[in-house]
Amino acid sequence: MISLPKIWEIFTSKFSVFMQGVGTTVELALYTVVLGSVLGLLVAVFRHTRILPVRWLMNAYVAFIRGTPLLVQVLMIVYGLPQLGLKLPRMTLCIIALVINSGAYMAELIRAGLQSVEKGQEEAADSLGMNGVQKMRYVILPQAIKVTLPAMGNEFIAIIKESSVLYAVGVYELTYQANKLSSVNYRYLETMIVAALIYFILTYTMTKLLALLERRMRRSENSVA
Amino acid sequence: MKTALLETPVIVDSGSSSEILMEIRGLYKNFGKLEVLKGINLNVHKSDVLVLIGPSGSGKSTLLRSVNMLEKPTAGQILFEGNDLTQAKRKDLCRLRERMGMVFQQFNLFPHLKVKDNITISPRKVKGLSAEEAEKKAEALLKRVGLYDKWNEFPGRLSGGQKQRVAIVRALAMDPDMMLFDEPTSALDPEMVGEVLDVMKALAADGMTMMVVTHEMRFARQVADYVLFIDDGQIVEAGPPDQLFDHPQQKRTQDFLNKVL
Repeated sequence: MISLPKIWEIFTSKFSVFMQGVGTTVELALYTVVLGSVLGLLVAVFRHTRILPVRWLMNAYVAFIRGTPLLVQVLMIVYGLPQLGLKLPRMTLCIIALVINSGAYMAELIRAGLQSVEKGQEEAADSLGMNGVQKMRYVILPQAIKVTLPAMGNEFIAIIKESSVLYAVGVYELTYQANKLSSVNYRYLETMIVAALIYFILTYTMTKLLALLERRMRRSENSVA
Repeated sequence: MKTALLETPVIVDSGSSSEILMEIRGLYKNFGKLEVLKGINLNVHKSDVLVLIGPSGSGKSTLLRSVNMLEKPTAGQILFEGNDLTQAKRKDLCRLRERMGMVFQQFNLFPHLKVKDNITISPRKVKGLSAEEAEKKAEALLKRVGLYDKWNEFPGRLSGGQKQRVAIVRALAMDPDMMLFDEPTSALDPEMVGEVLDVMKALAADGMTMMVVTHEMRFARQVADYVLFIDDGQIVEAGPPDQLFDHPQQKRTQDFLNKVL
């Protein structure tokens, strides 16, 4: 039987355990969204290069990551890299795994953003004598990023949720902490409800913050072209 | 047996006495199987105002866009200040494009940049001017077209006519030797056409070398030194405006003018 007071009791008595999980989850998500964006940006830009092998490599990376489960990728990186002699802290390995995963999705988002920039923008930049790098940096990319930002926000929210797979490799993020508590108190349902509510508060707050940010951005510019 | 006449290329030339800025020779452009330009031979002298008219699909815009290599010609040469644009390396092409301003039908202002940054970004980043120098220049140019009060606005807040005037200023800020106008008033509401044409007239009066693709026949008559009638990828007829408009020699020119005038 489910007991509401029990939920509250679990939350308050194990507050610090949950908060430690939240801290780790947020840390993972923040690192991932920042580094993943940088990686995604690089990949998206290099997918436009004239050097074909680089383009193929980037495309293969994106296709492979998007076509395989995150958990498999995490296990490959977290246990696989040390096997190759790369001894890194568990947390760092987890961030690497998430970044590699998220970078592929970010690259797709940014690519869509790049494609949304009108051809005339590129022509105008060309006609002003800009070279490829200047064109990308001052004209195309800023517009693409602006279009992509809301989707990148959603990606951040997705990362918060998906980082829960890391419980499988023993990182003390929120899901791991909740799972550990349940296995001691045998109140799986109530403990997991607490974890779910915390996840929900995190993602819901983020959604609202992003909506606010988006509205602000739109106001600063007013309409298009 | 009939003997085919060998076609001797006629080089269209305004006959101006000033130096030649650009020589276009044997210019062809195909889009797939479609031949859009079929052998263009043209000289552009310094301070020439050449107006290109002709039916839609005639190739006039393609010709203009080939001049700064926004379209890559299939064959032929474009000599600009002694450099063949069609053979130019990417880097050299950038340097040469700096010296040719282009104004587009759809303005193509950078929507994420304020008016002042639209104008100063290339002088700063491409020509290496300091922010102060570039802004001083932008300020003077904007004042000339009466838009200095829009300095801090984003393009989205300007009317079509204002956008196009800013676009002209953006091109002028690079100190080009030549300006290309690709139907600069076609996307404008009728009441805004005048303000853009006035800026272009002033430019022509200042001695700017200009190539203009337009449907504004009155403008062509008033401002052009030389009018080129283009049809089916060729320069069918060319001449000073009063000659071309009042005494067109070719049947195709006559038909076209009857339709539009």
